[in-house]
Amino acid sequence: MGRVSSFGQHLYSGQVSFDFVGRRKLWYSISVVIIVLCAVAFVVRGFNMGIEFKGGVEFTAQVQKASSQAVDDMTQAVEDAGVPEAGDPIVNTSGSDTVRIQTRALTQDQATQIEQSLTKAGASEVSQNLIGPSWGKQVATKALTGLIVFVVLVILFIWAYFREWKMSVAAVVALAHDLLITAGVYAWSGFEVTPATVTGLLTILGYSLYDTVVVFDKVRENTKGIQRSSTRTYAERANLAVNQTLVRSINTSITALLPVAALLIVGAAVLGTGPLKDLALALFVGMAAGTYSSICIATPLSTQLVERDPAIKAHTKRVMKKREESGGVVTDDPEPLAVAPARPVGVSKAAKRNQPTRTTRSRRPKGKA
Amino acid sequence: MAAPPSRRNLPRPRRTLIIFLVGMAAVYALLAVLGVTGKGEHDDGQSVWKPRLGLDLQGGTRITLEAKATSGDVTPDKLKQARSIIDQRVNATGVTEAEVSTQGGNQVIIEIPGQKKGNIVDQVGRTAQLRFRLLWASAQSAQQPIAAEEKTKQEAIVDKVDWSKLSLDQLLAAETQGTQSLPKEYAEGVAALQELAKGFVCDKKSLPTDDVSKKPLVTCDTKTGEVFVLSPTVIEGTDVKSAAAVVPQNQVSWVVSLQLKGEGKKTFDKVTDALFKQEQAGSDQTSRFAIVLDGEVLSAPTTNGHFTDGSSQISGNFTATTARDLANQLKYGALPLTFGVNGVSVEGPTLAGTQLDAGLYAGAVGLVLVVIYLLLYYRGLGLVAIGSLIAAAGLTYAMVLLLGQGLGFTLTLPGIAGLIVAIGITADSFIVFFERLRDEVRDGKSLRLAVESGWERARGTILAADAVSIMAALILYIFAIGVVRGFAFALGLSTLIDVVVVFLFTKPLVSLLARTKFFGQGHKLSGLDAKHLGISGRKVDQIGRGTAPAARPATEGGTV
Repeated sequence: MGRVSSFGQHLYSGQVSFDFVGRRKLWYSISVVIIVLCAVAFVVRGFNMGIEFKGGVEFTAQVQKASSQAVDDMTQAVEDAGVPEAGDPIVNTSGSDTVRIQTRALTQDQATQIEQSLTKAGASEVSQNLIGPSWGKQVATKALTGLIVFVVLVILFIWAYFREWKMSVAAVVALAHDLLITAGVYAWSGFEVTPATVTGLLTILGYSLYDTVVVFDKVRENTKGIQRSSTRTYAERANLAVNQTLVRSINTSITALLPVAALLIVGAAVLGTGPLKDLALALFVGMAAGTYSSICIATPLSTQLVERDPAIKAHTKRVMKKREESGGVVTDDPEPLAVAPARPVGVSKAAKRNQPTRTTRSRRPKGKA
Repeated sequence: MAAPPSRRNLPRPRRTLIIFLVGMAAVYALLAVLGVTGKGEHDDGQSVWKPRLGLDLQGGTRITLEAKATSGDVTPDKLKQARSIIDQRVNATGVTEAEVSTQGGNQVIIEIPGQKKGNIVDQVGRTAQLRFRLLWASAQSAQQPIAAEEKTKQEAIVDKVDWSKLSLDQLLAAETQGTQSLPKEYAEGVAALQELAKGFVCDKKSLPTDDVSKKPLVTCDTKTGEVFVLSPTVIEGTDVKSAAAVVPQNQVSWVVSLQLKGEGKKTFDKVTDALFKQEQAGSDQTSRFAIVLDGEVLSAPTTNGHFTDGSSQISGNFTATTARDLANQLKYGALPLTFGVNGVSVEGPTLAGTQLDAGLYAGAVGLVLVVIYLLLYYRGLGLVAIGSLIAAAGLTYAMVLLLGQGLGFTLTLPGIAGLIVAIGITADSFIVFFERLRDEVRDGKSLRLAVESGWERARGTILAADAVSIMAALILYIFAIGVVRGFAFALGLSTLIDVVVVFLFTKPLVSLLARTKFFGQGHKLSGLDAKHLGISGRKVDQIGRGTAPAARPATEGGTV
């Protein structure tokens, strides 16, 4: 881990720097390709909508062992129940000792009839879930309303906090990016889309933004008073911010993904189906995409937008010109920070602030602290 | 901002930490008191130390009824009214411990823990029928209920008779001149009705559930205990145009004014004509009619006027509330809204148990993985993070218990998932802080200074990020449906707790630890040693002189 830490130090100082901002075209292209793939999935494969969106009845039968024999037994039991509306049920195993049976919409009496038939066929316990046809639609409508409200609030919040609408735009683009990718993974994998999935998607909104806010906060800190600097462009400072928060981003992603992964695995292995798995899969994909987008989409995009500002444009030009005059660094150097002159040009506030402290402390006899 | 902690500031971290620990102890003490006295608002005999589990984790029935858009504007008032009526009906079916609540502005949720009762849905959800019937006979509530066998027998006799052939005049005559005025073939049916009335005990449980319009009905008024034999329906509730609770001019008591329309208006004209004559003739008893709702007699007024235009007033010993209730019931039928079944889920206890285990298991695994990672990466500081996670977990558990007692908050599977997801968000706050702290050390500050200035910067980031998280949780809570709300609630709750723990626990703890030798001088295992941080040429308890070339570029450009 020691090496990882000094890696963090190098990232922080700029000795090691990944050019997230400069190579934005590469990152954009990667994302565009992924999103196009997702779009293809939407069209070609579509979504595997769960029973909640179609309406119907889902029975969960506890059996001795969830084998194909049990599936056959349960299918037979549904047919024996004497409810013609429940023909062609979808029956599959779920976990080690449950069988899941889905039928079309039934009345409560019919559902009870089937439940009795299942119990007769050897199910030790039957749970049933009768879902009205409007339920899923309602969930989707509400989720959409929530999404719109959230996006509006996000734009306002970021604009208020960072005083920069361009960051709002970039954050929202990153959000859309994460949602599309998550939806795409659902389409490709054929996992069932349930209300829990929708919850997961809405949670991603919060998480993706959370990540972006942390990175943007550092960008703002680094680019404050950028106009006074004659050695660094806005883009370079923004890129440094991404690099400086890279270790945090990685650590946060890992600590966030670990519990979600546990949910996903337990949800899939122990329960087979159900809200845990649906929620966890959406979260897992969305969180991973969220980390990527806050680094490779949000910051480069906000930088790109900020750079269109005439003042910043002029400043960048000034810095570049000066750099050329000094005969040192060329503009497209991927790691300009590492080679840049070590001495600061202006006296920064930070330096001023620290000055008296340093003198006093260093004169102190050792070992007192 | 980055001023060195002055002497005045020195005792602060310890004080903050003590405040936090005392606060936490107080919360647990409060719970203990609640446990001893059993004064929790939602006390259900369960141990106060066990979280209240949702139906998906303990098994039970959950019925979701949704108001249909066709039933007019769904106002909070109407929904509240519907809720209380449905609540009464659920109780009337003999189900105990059911909880009926409204949700999402147009839904009524019935939750019955531990029982499989999906079959009550049709009984409780239907919009009840309001009917006007003539009063053929009345009696006092019986002491002994009629034997079930006898009841079935008599009911069969009543059912055999075709009552729908009777004309309004015949129905009226049966009241004004007695049931013997009916054609002979009805005699047996009437006798059976009288038998049923004789053995009718007037309470909520025995009210008839099969209120059929074209058949006579034996029922009672549970307010007075009077048992009635009622004629087939003469006016349907759908003929009620309006009803209102009013105090008429020059009077002091409340009455319910009733306005009928269509066929009902004409019938009412005829009915009141006949019945009012009885009243004038001095026979109050044969001038009554009954307003029946859902098989129960709401009111059985005498007729003291001939109403030709369909409007009338029902007087009695009304208070403002009872008059308004009756008016509402007349207007809307029993339920002010028509409900459709949105979902019925019946969860068996085994499945529920598996889900609970899986949720707890996933949470434990997730927590352990995060702990291992934090220890490996942050070493000594990782211990601080783990301590903070434990503090957050302790506080969350207490809040779940307390909210369960106070607000009836139940822990559902999505709720547990929310808490697990929140582990990551909570850990992130520490990571942001620790990374800032290390950055400050790299910038050339001594550790003790770095803690303060790193905190100053991390604080803003943590607050902004948590604000976003809480905003997301709130929106999810407002726009989510059903159990998904539990997820949003858990997420919001843990984010708030995260803020509390970071401010009142983690930060002061790190401040205190920075003074110790182990952390303050950067012991190899503290996670703060110079090598681990990748700085060279000094120890972390010293101030850098800017000799490390790395420290320079970062300070340039003005960081505030």
